[in-house]
Amino acid sequence: MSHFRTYLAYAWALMAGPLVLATFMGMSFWAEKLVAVTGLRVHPIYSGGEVAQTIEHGEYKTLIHHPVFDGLIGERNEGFVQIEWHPLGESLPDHIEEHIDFDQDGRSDFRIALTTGTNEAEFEPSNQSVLSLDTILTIQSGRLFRVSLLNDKS
Amino acid sequence: MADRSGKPRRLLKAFLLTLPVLVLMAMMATQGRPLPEDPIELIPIIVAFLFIVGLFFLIVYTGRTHRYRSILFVTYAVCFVISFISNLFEVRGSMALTEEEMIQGHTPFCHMVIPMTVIPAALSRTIIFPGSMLQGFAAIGPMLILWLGASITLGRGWCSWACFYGGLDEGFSKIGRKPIIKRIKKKWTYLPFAVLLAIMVSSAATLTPTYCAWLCPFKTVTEYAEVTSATTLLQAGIFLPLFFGLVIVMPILTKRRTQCGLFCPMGAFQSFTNKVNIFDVRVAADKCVQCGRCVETCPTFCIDAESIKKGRTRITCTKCGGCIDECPKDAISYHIKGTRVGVKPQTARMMFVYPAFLFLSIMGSGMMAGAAYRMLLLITTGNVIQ
Repeated sequence: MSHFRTYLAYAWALMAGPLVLATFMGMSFWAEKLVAVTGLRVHPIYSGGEVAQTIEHGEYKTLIHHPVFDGLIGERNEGFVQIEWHPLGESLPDHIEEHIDFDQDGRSDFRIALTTGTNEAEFEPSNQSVLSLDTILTIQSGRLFRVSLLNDKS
Repeated sequence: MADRSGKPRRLLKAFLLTLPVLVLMAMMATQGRPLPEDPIELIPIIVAFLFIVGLFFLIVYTGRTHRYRSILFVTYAVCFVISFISNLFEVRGSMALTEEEMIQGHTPFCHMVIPMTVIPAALSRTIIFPGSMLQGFAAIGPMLILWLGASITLGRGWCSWACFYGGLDEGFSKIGRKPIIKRIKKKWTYLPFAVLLAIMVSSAATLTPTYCAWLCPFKTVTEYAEVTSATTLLQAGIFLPLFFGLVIVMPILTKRRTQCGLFCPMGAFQSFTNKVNIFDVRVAADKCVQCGRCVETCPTFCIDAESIKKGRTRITCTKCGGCIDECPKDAISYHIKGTRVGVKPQTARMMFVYPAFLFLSIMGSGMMAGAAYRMLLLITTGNVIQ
């Protein structure tokens, strides 16, 4: 039994070298497998959540993400919705004004107007769960903003 | 532990044992592509290759592990800093990480984040980090694979053979001949576990990697959140002194790796992987003369009188080989769990050193070549970035 254990131990120790090589040589492959098998993803408070709607406006398109209320367990009382504007040509128009219906109930939840040169924004909520405009960021040639929300379900 | 057979035979044996590393490193250096023709790109690759293979040869030939591992480990850390910062300036123009980059998932993922992701990943299958799972530089998926591979093969050997930060405080701990602070109370060695618990709980509660945001000293030599508010200013006011205190001043005063041994929560977390790793370091009680040199030498406070009595190092052992090199009676050796202690110690040593050295050299070769390239660029063009 002790001999068997010793052989097993040496065999396991010998595997360490090939394991190191497999780690480096197959890193991308294993990483894809790991993500696929575990279903791991970046938390939506960082990624902004999945895109729920894409609306094209000629010169630019609007990406409206699903509202994010995800907590560690269950939902939080407050969250946000992420909106992105991406140019369909080279750049965004000088001025954008848009009514956003993120909950897709057919009614505007807020109006936002942005002067893209200065990133100056006007923000007007029309839904009680919409709290404020949090961030406007320039991403490549587009813009991204997050609007904080109150969770109706909580 | 030096082999006492004839010199030519020892040389031949060391050369033959180095051959696998030489071949593998040559393959890794070229990665199946033809070597670059531009000398500024070619010379760093050759220098890194020769440096790595030379150090492995010395490990085998002299029988000393820690001495030559340490040279490679410190070089690797310095080169990591040089190539990482140069790269940041080339891509981004600054070490500061902006909100735009974070929100687009461009933050490189580092192993220090792993303990903080455990609870949220277990409960919601999400990673609380502003990076990308698979795309871009240092994406989360590949870094998790790297960590898993290292944990299986090396356990907490990660901290002395793979971590690209550990070499910094190891380097500073080599400055000076004798320690000014000689004794550190054992209770301080439990601090990393307290920090680990605190950051795991606080990260889960806030869904923010709190160690990265507030404590990580290595932001000083990598990247940090752009100072745009009182909060980010306060964060800078914390990580900068931590770096100077734990990575520079304390290692010089104690000649120990104080960041790794007294603070790093990733190190504490990694200690648990020693339980499942096949390699450990053991003390042969019948050979030990209780001289205490191993206790004085251990850079990460992983061996003490109590553990020697038990014939082993503490769970926090980073398998650096320092105590093994230092022991005058060859009482300490690498060991394969499940085999008898003290039997074929050189076999156990080589079986550990091969994967460990491969890990360090594969991780380090690109960074060393990258840093040498930046230095050559500086000499030839007067600028480290293109």
